[in-house]
Amino acid sequence: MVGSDVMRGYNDFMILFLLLEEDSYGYEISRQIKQISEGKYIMKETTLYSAFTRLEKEGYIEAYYGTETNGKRRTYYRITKEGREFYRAKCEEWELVKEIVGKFVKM
Amino acid sequence: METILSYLENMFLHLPRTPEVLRAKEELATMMEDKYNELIAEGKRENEAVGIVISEFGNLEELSEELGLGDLEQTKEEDTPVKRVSRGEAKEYISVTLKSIRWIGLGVMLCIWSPIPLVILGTLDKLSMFTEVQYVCYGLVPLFVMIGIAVALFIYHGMRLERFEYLKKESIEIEFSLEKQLRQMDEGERTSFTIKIIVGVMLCIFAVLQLLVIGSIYQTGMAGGFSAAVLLLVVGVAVYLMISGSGKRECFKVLLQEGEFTRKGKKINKIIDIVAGIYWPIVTVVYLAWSFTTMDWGFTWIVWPIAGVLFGCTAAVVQAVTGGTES
Repeated sequence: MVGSDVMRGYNDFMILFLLLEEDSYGYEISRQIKQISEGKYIMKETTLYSAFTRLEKEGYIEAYYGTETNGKRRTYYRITKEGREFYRAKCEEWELVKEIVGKFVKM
Repeated sequence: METILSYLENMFLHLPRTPEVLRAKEELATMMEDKYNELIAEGKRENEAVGIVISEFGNLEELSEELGLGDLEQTKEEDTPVKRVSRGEAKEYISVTLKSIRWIGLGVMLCIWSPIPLVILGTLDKLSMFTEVQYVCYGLVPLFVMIGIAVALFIYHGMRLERFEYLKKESIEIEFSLEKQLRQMDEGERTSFTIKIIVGVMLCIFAVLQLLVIGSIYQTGMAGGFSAAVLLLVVGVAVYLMISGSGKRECFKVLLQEGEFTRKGKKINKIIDIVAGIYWPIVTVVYLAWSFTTMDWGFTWIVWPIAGVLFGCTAAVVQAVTGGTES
């Protein structure tokens, strides 16, 4: 399990990654993060929601109401063009971080 | 699931009810509910599922910036105390109001209907077939009986509703799950409410139209008189429909603190109440003084409609000023 402090800068990144393929909603995203990270990272609900509002404010994602399933209205999120660009920039940044931090790793 | 929702409810207890906060609460509730359902589907026991959901909830401090709350600690200090309304209290309020509003509607209908016997007698009297005693018996007695019943209804049901007045005047708070339930009920109720209002308005229009048409066709004779009776009859029914129809919606509005019952609206209403407490006695004094000095009672009533309109203006100004300084 990784602490949320370490992951702070990459929450947005992971959410955008999941939205690249298809639109999704809150719990589905948190489930996929847990699954892909093989249970090593669980994103807290508040972290997730805070990331959604931040990304929305930046214009990287858009929220819309999905169709109702058994009387419940779900908020779905879709990634925007700016979001995709931001994601690519973050990928490049990560390569750089990996390279830099890697130079200091001795196991 | 109840446990999770009440946990969330407690977390949000002291936050202001801005649209951002309400949206966050709803989204978080949906996420938690989804997670809970999946855990249960995976075969977890209820306690276990609740424990996992709550432990993975996180920390509201994290949202303070996104919700535009600045420092969370600061916003906890509310300037007015908030009264918590329990589920039972809310349900009782709804059931009492629904019952009482029908009786009050009936009272209003009786008031509107009360002159009908007199109108009919007056019309028939064109044949000059009634004595004064008959007039009193068949005209005035029903009038006063109907008004008497109506007043009794108003007083009795007014008193029954009085203990719920605080819901309209004070800042209140209800359980999150109840709020959700009420919103759904409100949504479901909207169509029948709209239909009742539309039917009411149509009836009123019909009532006036038939009077105009009949009045212009039969300029003399009894038709006009009967038409006036029909007008009262139909308007009475229409008003009953509209009053009883709006009762439920009003309940929801009060409990959900919407429309004129938002916390801000309540503050403004308090100020308007104070203004009204000074304003109307002054108007009354002016009216009486003017009337008694001129003895022109036939004209001085004009004070009331003017005062009414001016009061509406004053209330609007109060609303604009207080609403403006707070936002």
